Amino acid sequence: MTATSVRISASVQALIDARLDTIERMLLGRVSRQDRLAIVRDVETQIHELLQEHGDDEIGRDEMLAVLARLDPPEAYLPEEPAGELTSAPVRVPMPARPDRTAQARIARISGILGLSALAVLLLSPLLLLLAELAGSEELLLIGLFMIGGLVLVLGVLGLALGIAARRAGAWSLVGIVASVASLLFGFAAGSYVLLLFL
Amino acid sequence: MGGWETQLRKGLVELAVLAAVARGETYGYRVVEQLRGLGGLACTESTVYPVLTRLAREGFLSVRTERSPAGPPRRYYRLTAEGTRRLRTMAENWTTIARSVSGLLEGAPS
Repeated sequence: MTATSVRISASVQALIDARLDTIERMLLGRVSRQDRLAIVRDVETQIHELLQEHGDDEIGRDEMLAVLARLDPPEAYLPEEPAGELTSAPVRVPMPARPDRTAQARIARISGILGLSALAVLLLSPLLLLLAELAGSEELLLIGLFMIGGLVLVLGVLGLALGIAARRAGAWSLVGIVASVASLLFGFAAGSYVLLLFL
Repeated sequence: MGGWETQLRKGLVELAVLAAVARGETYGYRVVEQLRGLGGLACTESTVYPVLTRLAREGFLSVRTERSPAGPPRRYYRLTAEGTRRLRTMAENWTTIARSVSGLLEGAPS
C-alpha cells in the first residue's frame, strides 16, 4: 500500500479492504478479472480522496464509516443486465476439475486389488486356525483373528469406497465393489461365528 | 416511467463519460465529481467506473497509472484517437435525436 498523508490504522484499513472485497465479489463472474481489479482500484482511489478531504492526521473508525456511507453500496455494482452483458469478453467460471480417465482407471484397479486382497486374507484365515491348533495356543488364535478381522475390515472398506468412487471406470471397479462387499459380509459372519464359539 | 429514465440515463452515461474525459486527462473520481453535478444523469461511481473500465478495454481510452499523494496509484484516463471518433459519432447522433425529439415535443400539448 502506498504511503498516505493520513494515518490509517489496521482496523480502519480492514474496513476499506472489506468494502473493496465486497465490491469485487459483486462483480465476480460478471466482468473479467482485469476489469474487476480496475474498478476496485478506482473505488480505492476515491476512498483515499475522500479521506484526504477529511483533513485529520489520523482517521478513526467513525470517520471511515462516514466516508464509506458516502459511497454507493456494493450492490450498486450489480449490473441490471443478465450476467455477461457488461463485458464482451467471455467470463469463464472455473469448474472443479474432474479426475481424468487414467486416474479413474487407476483408482478402479486399486479398488479391485484391495477387494481381492481382503477376500484372500479371509480365505487364508483357516491356516491361522490350523497353526493355532498345532501350537496349542489360544492367545495366538485370538490375536490372529483380531488382526485378520481388522485387515479385512480396512481392505474391504477401502476397496468398496474406491470402487464406488471409480464406479464408471470399468470392470476393475466392479471387481473391487463385489470382492469388498463379499469379504466384509463373510468376515462379519465368520467373526460373529468365532465370537459365539468363544462365548 | 422509472424504467424509461433508467434506460435513457444508461444509454447516455457512455457519452457523458467520453465527453468528460475529452476535456483532458483525468482520473475516475474526478469524472464522477464532474458528472455528479449534471442534472438528470444521476451518475455515481458504480455507474462511472465500470464504463471507464469497459471503454479502456475497448480501446476508446488509454490508461496511465501514477503515484498519488492521497493513497494508491491513480489510474489516469485519456481519449484515444478511436475514442475521439467514437465521441464525435455519438455526439452527432445525440444532437440529431435530441433536436428531432425536441421538435416533436414543441408541437405536443403540454
